[in-house]
Amino acid sequence: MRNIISFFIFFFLVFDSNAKKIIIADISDNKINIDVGFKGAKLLFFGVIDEEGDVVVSVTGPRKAVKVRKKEKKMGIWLNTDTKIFYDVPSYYYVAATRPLEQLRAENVLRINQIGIKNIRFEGAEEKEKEERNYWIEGIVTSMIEAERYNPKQGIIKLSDNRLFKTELNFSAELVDGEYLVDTLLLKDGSVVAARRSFINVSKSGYGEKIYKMAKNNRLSYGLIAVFFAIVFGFFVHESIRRFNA
Amino acid sequence: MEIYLPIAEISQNIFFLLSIGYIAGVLSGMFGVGGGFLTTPILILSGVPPAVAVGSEANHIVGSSLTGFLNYFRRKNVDIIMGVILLLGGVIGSAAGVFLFRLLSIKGRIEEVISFTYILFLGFVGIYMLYESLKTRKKKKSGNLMKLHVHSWIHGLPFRIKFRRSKLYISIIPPLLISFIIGILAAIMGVGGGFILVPAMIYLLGMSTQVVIGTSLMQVLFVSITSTVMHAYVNQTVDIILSGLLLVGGVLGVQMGALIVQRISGEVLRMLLGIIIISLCMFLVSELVIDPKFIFILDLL
Repeated sequence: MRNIISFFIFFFLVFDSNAKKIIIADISDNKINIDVGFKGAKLLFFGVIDEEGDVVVSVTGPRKAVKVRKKEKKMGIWLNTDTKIFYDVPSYYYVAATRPLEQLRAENVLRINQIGIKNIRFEGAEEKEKEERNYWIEGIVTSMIEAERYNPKQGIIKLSDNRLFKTELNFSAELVDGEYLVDTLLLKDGSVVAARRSFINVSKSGYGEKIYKMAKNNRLSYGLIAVFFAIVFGFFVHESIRRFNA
Repeated sequence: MEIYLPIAEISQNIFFLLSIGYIAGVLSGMFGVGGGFLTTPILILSGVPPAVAVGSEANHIVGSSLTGFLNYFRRKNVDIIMGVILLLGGVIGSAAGVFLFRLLSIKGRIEEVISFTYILFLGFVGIYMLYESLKTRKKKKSGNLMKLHVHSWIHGLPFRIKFRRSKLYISIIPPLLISFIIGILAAIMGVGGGFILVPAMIYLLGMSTQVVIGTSLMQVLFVSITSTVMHAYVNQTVDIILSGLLLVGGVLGVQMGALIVQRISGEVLRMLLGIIIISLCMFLVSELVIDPKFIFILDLL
């Protein structure tokens, strides 16, 4: 539901501004398969704008609920003092632009469209005071960066002939499966002139997918098989070492 | 070389996983403990979600404890009757523990209380083991040997039976009671309990160190089988790629551990275990005192 709303807001913004401008864009591959050997992915994102301006591309991973525990020092000891659940937390975030975001002079547009790590909005813990809540959100972002889920380094978009843009989208190995949104905005004088949304589908494949599906769908037999393998292996190793020593 | 773990949903270095499995295996083979106390925090620190670390660890321990158990069994260093009694008490205890956990968590935060009790307990047991083993060692040198286990009224309670392997003729009440209490602790703290069981068998029941390790491994084996199936069924947090890699390292480690045990005497072994227990205790204390890297801990749901 929220996705639909944000989608409409997005389009509203597009049509609200000068909607006649367009962006044509494509990705070298709109599918990422996570197999057992997965180490991350590099995709080429490229396109054409029909008016001069700044291009901003953001990649947002599927939004998830996140359980956050806060530690606090009490009487010289660190304890878990509070637990909150935040919703709509992007599981992945990356942004690239033709210029550093601060130089675009489009604070409002960036905030509304949740572009840039500090503009990502989360739901949850609304009962907390604003300052305290922001402190929590800062904590979430820091942990996400450390876990290589959010990329704190802004990517560079190269423009050729002021029309053709291209950038490399780098994905770490820490991807959850689902639909990733790639939003492209064309900014001029601090407002959106054109926008386009593309999708990247991240899914598990090969052995990884089979194992994942079995663990979710046949829980009991998965557990029994896991134990069975461990027992057979333990027994086999014991026997072979015994024979080897004898 | 990186490998993607489908349930943990992250990539990990294969050799890293093999080596921590190996180290846990050595400890397991030497002391009859699962080794989860060591691998679980390392896995969590390296980015594996805590629930997946615990679930996969249980699966890993199934394999390595079986190899260790068979090793000791072949050398006739397992007291099956004692093992069955301990298991019985343990199962009832952990059922009671799960119930108690629910009751206490409704009442508010019990986590801290448990962790303090655990630290106190480990500190006490570790220091005592170190003290006792050093004393025995001294006495051995001066040729003045004393029997380790002193018969007390506890052993003389009704329902006495013969534990042939342990060379004991004691009541079944103390082992049942001890394993029951450890079962409660294990369920509440999410640990196998080997760390408390091994010293308890040595000092409270008076079993010889070698037999204790084998018998404890038997207990660890059954507990880890149950918890693997439980974790897989209830939480879907068993990553067989992860546990498989830990296992390959683990079974080799267990063999190594069992080999080391043959070369050193009981009191040296108890001394080493004492040192490890004290280090574990200090690690837990340091976690409470040292400023954490992150004040907020995330768990993707």
